[in-house]
Amino acid sequence: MIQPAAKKLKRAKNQNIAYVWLLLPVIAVSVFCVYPAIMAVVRSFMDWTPNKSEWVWFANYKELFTDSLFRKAFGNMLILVLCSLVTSNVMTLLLAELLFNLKLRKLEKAYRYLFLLPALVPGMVSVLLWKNVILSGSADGLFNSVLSVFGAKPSGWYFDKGRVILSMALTNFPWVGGISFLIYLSGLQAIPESVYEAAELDGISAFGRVLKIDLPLLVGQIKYFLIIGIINGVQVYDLQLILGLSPVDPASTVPGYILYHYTFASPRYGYAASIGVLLFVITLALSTISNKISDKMRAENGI
Amino acid sequence: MTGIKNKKTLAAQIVLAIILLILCFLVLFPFWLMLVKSFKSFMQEVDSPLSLTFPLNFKNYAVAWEHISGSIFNSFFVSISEALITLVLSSVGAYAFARYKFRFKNIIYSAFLALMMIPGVLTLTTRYVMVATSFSLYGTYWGVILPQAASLVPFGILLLRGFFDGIPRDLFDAADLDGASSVKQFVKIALPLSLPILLTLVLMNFMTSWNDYLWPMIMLGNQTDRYTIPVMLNSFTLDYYKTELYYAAPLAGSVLVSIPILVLFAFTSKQFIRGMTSGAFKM
Repeated sequence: MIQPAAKKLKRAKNQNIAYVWLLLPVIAVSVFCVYPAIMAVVRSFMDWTPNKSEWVWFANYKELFTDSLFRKAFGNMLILVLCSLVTSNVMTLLLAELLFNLKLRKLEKAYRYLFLLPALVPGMVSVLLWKNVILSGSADGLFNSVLSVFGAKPSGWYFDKGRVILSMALTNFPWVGGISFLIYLSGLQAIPESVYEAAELDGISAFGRVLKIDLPLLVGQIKYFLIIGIINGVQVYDLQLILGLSPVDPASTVPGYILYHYTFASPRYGYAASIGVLLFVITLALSTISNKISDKMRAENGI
Repeated sequence: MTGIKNKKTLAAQIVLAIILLILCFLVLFPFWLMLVKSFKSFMQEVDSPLSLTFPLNFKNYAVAWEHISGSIFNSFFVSISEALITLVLSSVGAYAFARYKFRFKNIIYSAFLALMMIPGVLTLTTRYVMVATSFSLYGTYWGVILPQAASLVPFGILLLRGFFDGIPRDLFDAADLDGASSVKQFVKIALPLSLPILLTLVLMNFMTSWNDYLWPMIMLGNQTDRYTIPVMLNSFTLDYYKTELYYAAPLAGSVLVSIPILVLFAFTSKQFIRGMTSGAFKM
């Protein structure tokens, strides 16, 4: 009985080498991810600027909840997140369905590559195209030119306070370019042929098939895009930043952009950190909820 | 098959093809416009802003290249470094989880996965102060590279562990009997057997870094000779418009900076697509 125990001991000793393997990645994420995250929570209870740092407990959060700019920004964010979740999911699903039902395989393959193209171009190129060419505020911007055919006056779009949110929601119209449609497409292709044959025998219409078969079987993919869309949508402000909009303009700002303002333009790190913590809590709550809902839907559909 | 049904499917197929054509046109037209406008002189831009005009002004490309070329090299340096650092850190981490049983294994692994839920906004302020002030990395490449590389590690570990788990244990046990060290097993067994997934991870992180605007912009400040493509393209566009009042050269620059990834894609489209969609399949 001594031998196996010794072997086991030797084995256990061997296994401890795992900690050596883990050393570098653990150090890297501890320094650059864990520590900043913990400090953000701690600092959100402090009045922290480049020159001072003292405990103020909930004062930052109190200010946040009573600040009218923040409230406006939060509303803008909700509108933008909702719009992008709906537009991008509906349109990419539509594209995936169209490609899936196209019988000419060669044409389908060619289209796949064409719709991928925007994902290969740097994001900055697309944003600048929308800013300076497509939704440009000048009279020969693409939208203004097209609309002028119908007798509309040129609009400033991003630089028109009444239209800036609409313009941001319109950006990337028709919202299909990129890689997401491939994820839906491969989801559709994974549905067994027999399911479709049965549906055909039952005389289900194409539209009915999409609703009754495709959508329930794509719940996993839809959930993924909802969660990713929420996490990105809640924190993103690249568009406002590249457009050069003011972070303190209630017409277009979002919470993340206010955080940016209080980190770089007029440093109040503690207040900025409290915005970050709030956004983190929101993303966590929303993605937990959409997780729960999609799991429930899956259970109901017996998947 | 009856003739009527065939006709009906044919009509449906034609409608499908037409809707796809319209969608495709809407998606690609902006890029066509980018190409068209990048060749215009100022007068051509004023006279016919939306159509192709001749002669083509290649001078715009020369101007753009002069301003943009440096940033293309910077971006390659930053993105390759980020992708490789992430590759090394994730593969050694994933190897530990796939190969060994140790105390707290599941807790440590879950902690890595939980890190993926932390949004960038939460850490932006504290990370900036830490990297810029405490580490004095403001305005340097490392200030851009290290934090981004580290934050991509959790997903890398998730992706690679799934793959390493699939390598038959017999291979490692046989190597153990031969007395091969764990480093040797990692380099000779685990890595060679997972080349496709390693390439996928590299491409994915390369693209993330290549497209990243916010963090390089923050970290590089006014070090224009270190700007990555997105940062340089934005600042070049703003500066050029101030003096020239139109966008031909910046659009020429946009065309130029789009080329490297198109070429990369042409050679690695399979891995590339997998890299950019693997997030969905892992969740």
